[in-house]
Amino acid sequence: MPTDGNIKLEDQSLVFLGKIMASISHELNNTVAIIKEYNGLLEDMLLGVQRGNPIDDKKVERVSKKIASQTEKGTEIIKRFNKFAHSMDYPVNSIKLDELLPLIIGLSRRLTEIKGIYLTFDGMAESITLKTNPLLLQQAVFLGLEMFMADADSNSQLILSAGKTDNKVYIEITGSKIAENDLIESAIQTLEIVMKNLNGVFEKKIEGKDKQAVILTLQDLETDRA
Amino acid sequence: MSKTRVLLVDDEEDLSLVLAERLEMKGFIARGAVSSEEALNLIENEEYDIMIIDIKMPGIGGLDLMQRVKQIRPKTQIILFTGHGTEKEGAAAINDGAFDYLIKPIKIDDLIDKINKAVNK
Repeated sequence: MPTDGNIKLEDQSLVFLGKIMASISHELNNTVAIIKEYNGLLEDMLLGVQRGNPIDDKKVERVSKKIASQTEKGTEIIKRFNKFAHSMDYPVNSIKLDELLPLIIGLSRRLTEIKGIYLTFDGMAESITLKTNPLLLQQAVFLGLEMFMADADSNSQLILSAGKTDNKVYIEITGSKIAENDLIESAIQTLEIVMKNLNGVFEKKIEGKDKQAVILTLQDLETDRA
Repeated sequence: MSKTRVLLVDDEEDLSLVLAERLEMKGFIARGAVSSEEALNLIENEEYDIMIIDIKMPGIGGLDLMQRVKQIRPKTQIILFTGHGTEKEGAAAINDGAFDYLIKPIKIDDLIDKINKAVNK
């Protein structure tokens, strides 16, 4: 793996994977905790029935629905995790950006929620399939998001969008101001290395009052045009 | 003997509500809140013996909430909920005034045991 100064890309990719896994496991842990408590509530109710209390049909129905909805939520989290894991089956692969970007939003959900940030995907005018390194591309987008998340206010908004101009594909993250500190500087350095390895570049832009954007630009030479 | 009053604060609404429901069935007066802000509003008017607070919450985090509760309601004992990743924060918070902490998913008997110990402190 390439190195640049003191930052090793391999180490930073592991940091990225660790953060995603921690976020997913946290979400799953909460879901399991809720299912466990609803199951416990059913056990408490059963104990009551065994002691001669009447069955509360409505309550049983409510608890059953809650368990079903949490199970559904857990299944969605696992699906996302599985998709993320399989996105890295090959070091270079064809990636549909209109699938990958919502996936990153889903994977980052816990991290954005905890900071009270609304992260949305702005959609794309056309479907773009890009042949690239899936791990590094996801890492690049995540680093861009992290630059905003580090100092974002609660209730702030982050918008992820993508498009194509000439022979270039761009992914844009727009949000409020990016802080200036050692953490951000390190993220910028890592993002530079990641983008270099993707044969792309990134830029930070000021977009109006209190708005900034991080734009990742990739060559479209290998885009699957089929 | 009056019933112990418990306030559960967790941004996972279902978790705070179901735990409150289970504690009610086991003889406590329990209520759930989904944010620190909601909890702070509640304790302005009501006194709770115990507050169970999740460390990781949007807005005012659990540790900040604990400090505010200590100022507003110094008699209220605090038990923290942590995930596996924040276990060290839970342990450290005992030095800052938390009675104890539990790692999610919790066991209801462990929670009740800690509530009773906190009340009898």
